[in-house]
Amino acid sequence: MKKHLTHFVLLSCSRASLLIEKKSASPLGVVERVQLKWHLAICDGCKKYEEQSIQINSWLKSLNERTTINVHSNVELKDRLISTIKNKN
Amino acid sequence: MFFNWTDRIVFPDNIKIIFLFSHSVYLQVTLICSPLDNQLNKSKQEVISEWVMSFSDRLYSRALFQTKSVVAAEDIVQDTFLAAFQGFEKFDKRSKPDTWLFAILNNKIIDHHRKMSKSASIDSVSGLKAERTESDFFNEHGEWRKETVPLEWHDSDEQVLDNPEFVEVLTNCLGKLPATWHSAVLMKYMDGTNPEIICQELEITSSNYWQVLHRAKLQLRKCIEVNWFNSDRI
Repeated sequence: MKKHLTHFVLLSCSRASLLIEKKSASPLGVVERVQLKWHLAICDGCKKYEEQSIQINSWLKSLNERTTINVHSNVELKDRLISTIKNKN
Repeated sequence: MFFNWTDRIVFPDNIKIIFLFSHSVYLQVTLICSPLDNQLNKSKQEVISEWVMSFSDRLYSRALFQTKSVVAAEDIVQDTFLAAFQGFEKFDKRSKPDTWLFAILNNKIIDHHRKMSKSASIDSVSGLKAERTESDFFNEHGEWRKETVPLEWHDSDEQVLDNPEFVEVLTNCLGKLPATWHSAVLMKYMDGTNPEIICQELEITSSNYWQVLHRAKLQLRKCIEVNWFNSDRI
């Protein structure tokens, strides 16, 4: 019962980590924001989760930029695609 | 023979004004839109050929990154453009063509993984790529399990990406996600595709969208931790 009550006020870790993900995309509502702030103040695991989650997002973004820089040009494929499309009706 | 049908019926003045007004709005709209129309009047072949020139390298690189096979990547890119050709009418001319093409590409990559997992042994489907549920990470009270609570990551800054071994770990961990999750993560965090397109292309309901990303991130985080930061602790 006590646990239910604390989770109602301070969120469970599973809910908190979900909100951390949501927060990276769009601002949370007032209640959720306050709940998450309180939860993060007392929960070490979720605090680390937040840092690492943001870090992973930024890795993925840079990884994409890097793979875009190392674009593999495939001229043959390009020519083949263009001729396939030209022959289509 | 021509007559204006409005002349035959007696309309009150205010209605006539509405008719006149709506006609002038129509004229204005057509005048404003006509230069745009010319631009859009290119044939389907021309538009798609331009897209091939502009985007095929990026699409191919992504397919190669996700499938690790030149043959599969070429097939996937070809299928993507054929699908774009066939579904050209569905493309919303106001949106960016590359976002649309990447969404189709992701779909094709998922199909490819599905085919591969069907031909592979059952073990690899149920084992490695198993969809973890929340109870794998949290106990019945929603608290982190002892073995999943996030640990400190040392030297986890942007520079670690310069290390090819780390990139390998990250890529492998992405590859271990179930195909739909994999594509959702790539679309969301690499391409910045908007949620509606992700849900539509991956056939996820909008209520499941965050659940999918959350679980995928939990699994990805754990995998990176085990394989890179704390390789001695499993």
